[in-house]
Amino acid sequence: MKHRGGEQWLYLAPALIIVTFFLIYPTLVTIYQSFFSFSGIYPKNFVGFLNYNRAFNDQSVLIALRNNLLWIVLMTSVAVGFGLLLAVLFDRVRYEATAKSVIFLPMAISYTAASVIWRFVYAYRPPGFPQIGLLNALLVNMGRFVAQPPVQRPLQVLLALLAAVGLLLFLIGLTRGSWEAIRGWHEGHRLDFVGVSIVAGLALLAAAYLAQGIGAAKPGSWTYLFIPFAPWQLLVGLGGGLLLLVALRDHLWGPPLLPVLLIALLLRFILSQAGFQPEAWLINRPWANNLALIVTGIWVWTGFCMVLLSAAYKGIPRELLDAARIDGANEWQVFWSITIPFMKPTIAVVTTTIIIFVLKIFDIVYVMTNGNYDTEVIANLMVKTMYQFFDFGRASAIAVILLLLIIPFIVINIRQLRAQEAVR
Amino acid sequence: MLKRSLTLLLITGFALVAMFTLTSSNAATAATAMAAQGRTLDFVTSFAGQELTAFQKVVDAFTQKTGIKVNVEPVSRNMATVLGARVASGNPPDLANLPNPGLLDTFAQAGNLVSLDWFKQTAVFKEQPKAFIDLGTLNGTLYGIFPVASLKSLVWYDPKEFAKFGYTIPSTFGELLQLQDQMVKDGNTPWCIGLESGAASGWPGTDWMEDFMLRSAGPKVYDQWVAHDIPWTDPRVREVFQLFGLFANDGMAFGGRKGILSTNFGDSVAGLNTTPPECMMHRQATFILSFILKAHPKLVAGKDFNIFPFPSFNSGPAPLEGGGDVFVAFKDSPEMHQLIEYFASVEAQELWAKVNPGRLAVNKDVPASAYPDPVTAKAAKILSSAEVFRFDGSDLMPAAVGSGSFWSAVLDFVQGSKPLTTILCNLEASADSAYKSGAATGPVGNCK
Amino acid sequence: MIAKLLRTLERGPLHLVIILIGFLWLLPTVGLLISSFRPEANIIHSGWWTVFAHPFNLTQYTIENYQKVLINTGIWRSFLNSLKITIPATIIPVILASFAAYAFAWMKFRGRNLLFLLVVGLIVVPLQMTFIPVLQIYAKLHFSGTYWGLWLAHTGYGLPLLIYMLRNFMGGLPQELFESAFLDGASHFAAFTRLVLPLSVPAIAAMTIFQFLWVWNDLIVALIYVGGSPRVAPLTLTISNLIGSYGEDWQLLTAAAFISMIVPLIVFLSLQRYFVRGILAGSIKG
Repeated sequence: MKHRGGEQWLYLAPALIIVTFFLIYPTLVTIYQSFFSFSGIYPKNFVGFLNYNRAFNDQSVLIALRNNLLWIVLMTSVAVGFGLLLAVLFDRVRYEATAKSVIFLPMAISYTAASVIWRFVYAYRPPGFPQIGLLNALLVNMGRFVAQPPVQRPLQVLLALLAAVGLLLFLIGLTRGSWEAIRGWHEGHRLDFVGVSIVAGLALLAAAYLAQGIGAAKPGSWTYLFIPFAPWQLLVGLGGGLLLLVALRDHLWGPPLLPVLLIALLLRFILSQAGFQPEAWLINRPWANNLALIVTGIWVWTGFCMVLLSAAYKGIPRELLDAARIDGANEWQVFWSITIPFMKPTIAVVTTTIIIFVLKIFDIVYVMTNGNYDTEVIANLMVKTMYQFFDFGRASAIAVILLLLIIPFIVINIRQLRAQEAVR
Repeated sequence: MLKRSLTLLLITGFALVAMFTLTSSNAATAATAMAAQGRTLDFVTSFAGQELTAFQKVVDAFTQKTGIKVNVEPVSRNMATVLGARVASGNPPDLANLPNPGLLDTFAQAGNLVSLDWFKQTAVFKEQPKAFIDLGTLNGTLYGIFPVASLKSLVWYDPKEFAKFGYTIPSTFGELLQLQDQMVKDGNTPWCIGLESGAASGWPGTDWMEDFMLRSAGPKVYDQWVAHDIPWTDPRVREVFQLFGLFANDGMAFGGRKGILSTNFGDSVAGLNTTPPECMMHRQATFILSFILKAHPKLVAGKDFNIFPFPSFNSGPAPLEGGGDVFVAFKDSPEMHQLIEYFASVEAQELWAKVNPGRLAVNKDVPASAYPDPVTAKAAKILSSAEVFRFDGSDLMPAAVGSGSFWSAVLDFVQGSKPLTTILCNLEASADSAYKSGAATGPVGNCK
Repeated sequence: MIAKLLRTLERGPLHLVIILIGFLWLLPTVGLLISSFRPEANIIHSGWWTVFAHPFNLTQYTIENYQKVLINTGIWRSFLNSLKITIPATIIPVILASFAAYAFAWMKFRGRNLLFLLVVGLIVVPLQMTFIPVLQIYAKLHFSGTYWGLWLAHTGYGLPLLIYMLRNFMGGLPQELFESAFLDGASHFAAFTRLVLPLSVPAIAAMTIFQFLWVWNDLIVALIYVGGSPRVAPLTLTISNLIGSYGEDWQLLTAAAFISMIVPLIVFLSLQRYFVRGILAGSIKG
């Protein structure tokens, strides 16, 4: 590689100058301002860390941080995972361009329009009145259908069985994944992100059951996602799950069955909470409204992930994939052992980008709820504090907190970059 | 091939950029140059939709009369951001309409506003009601005027339904409570209440409570409450919330608490005139008139819907609560003087009342005939005969409370997710950090 | 024969799944489209799917929403303004980012990684935080209210992400390409223009689309830097002003959303084939 004297600055200068002016300079100003108290819009007294102190003791800041974490975990995993799945699926059909355009369409819509759209989905009318929101209308109509005697009992049983199977498959998968992650760690491989999340997921499940077991869980809390099943349901679930594992292990449709069953689990949870009554999706806290907003975010951003991941997917040399298939590997093994490793850099980039965007998420929350009912996020809180409440000192402190939150992800990026360099 | 199309794209791009540069920046810089000369006034406004169209008409009439051009910059909900950014960066507009007088205090104290004391020497000044002049004054200096206002202490109802069931207009609070009990007995739902309003959800509830405070504790305590001389944990504030609870509950309001929380305030009034009616009464300001007509275009004002003032606790004229936008100036110029005088005049406000249904002129000399419908005229009469009048409290409080924690408190209270003590304690904590003055000293201990 | 049947059977579910996903994905937007053709009173009182009970009952449709949006609102001028704002605000950052990305990817110099990470970190800077400091300088330079001020602002806000993505893409190009080029005595500029740019077309196309979308749908940046006068207001602002101070006429948003969607869709559809195609197919051999 040629190492020129100062040529790189020619390439970098325009971008760096602009970025310094528009981003670095204001950031420095903000950091400076965060240590002052303000009179109107002019800084008055140096107050040290008072603004930060107030921020961390402020209930709304803590709630916002909690919500941001929820957004990061859910939106990133679903948008990236689903985007990846779609990229792979769409590659196999002739009408790929159309399908991609459909998924990408929400990105072309401004956030205001997206909020109007989802307003129609989440709208609430009291029970007994015609529903104007799509989700509630579906719920109510499902309720009417299910309430019919011939349907009700068998459906409950079927749903319970599916949910049990799903739960147990999930448990088995988690256990196996954790075991392999831990074993790998023991053998000296670093615990990578997937491994960590698997172990974390298992720990979460254990905590949920423990909480329920010792009676510490309140009704409606997250632990009830894993609602206790009747013993016979558990047995059927275990048997069914093992059967499915064995029968579909090598089949393309085996692993995708798991999300379907997990959805059954989720459905059962939702129905046990809400029944078939219309719900005020944007109001019920703490799950329904945050999830409703996150779903909107996923709807908008999956197209972005899909487009980038699809480009990377198409960069995988066909010969590699074909060779593996000829050797007898099924689609799933091809996906896990060739596709994903090949796309790891892009997946990492997309994930990082989405995480950064999620930290910044503002418009969706602002237009739909403005942070009410405990849906506040950091960026919205900052804008509120700055321009609605005109408390520049506090707003600057919140902004600095937001900036600090991104440091861990930058650290991960350093590692990634160095790894990439080492290969080159 | 690819390279050629790329090059072509690049060339087109540069050509476009060049073209835009040559044509557009001239226009934009010319505009700013003209504004600096003072011949075109820059007015940043939060008016939008129909209100903006009406405002533009009033401004156009001014330009026709005086030849002074006014550049109306509508920024709708982004008023706070735009104004804050422009003022802080040293490039404020000539004038703006502030949605609440609390902002006037903020800007005036920071020295951003131009004094309007010269206005007191004009002829049109005598036509302004003292209450509104006082609202636009800070520390003895006049900073803003109110051309149009809205009256908030009104109850809307369908006269036909009232006649059908034999209901009479209550003249005291006690009679109102009896009336709503009677309505429940008759199988009707007394109230339609809607608190949803996107980012501003909860604000109608604050109007209810301000009315209660005026009536239960009186205007003096109201002023103390707004100035944070009494804490939010005061029993009188607590009583106001509990009074609201008498109306905003599952039995008295359409849709119960969930309905209240998720119905948009503008949609909720439609329930008055549905067949069968979803409710009998709706408490809202004058502007809701256009919403009624939107939902039921064929209705006739006065016949299908009418208003009565929210009754006082004892018989006698009820204290009234209202609101309005205050017009302030950031830069001084003779043209600005003319525009302010014009806005305050009978001529402008008559036109305004005509093109913007639901708005009441503040100038005392505007006749009732200026209003296009009998309901608004009735509201104007109620307003002009008011003995006690107060501005919307939440608009007077610092934004962190009045447009923030107070709204959220209303929502929390109606939802019933937190005990009232906690809600009030949180409110007091928020007020403690938001108010720069006021005798109240903040919450006692930790809010649980 | 059986194999073929099995293959069709296996393909069947694939198509089914894809169509189902597409349908669910589109459903909210379809709801909006249908709502935009309904009168306001209907929208408040019944769900949009109720039109399917009597799909040919024409009285339940109306074009008044579109009429109100398109006529007498200055929407054509703001449409042009949006184009005026978006096109340069897309082209400039993409060009600058391409150069910078190449430097970060293939030009070795000390502090390269650190500088790059600084750029990555800047992605998270919230826009609203930057308005006042930048405006203060703009005021001194008399930049406020000019389109150049706005274009540069959008460039500044968009550069970190663009550089990040392009650099990662360019860095993923195979090293052998460059080695052979440099061995033949090529300069960096030659490598950039002849090798990297053509190969990066899919990535550049994708980034162009994203930047375009972001600027086109932006409201607050234009409002702050160029103001809200109807003469210079972009489409987003004009649409936002259709809704009254109390939220009246919000159903106009349904029609307005579709009108403003047209241009981004055209841009996406025309550019998307550049990255649907494979990127490196054949480049290693060739």
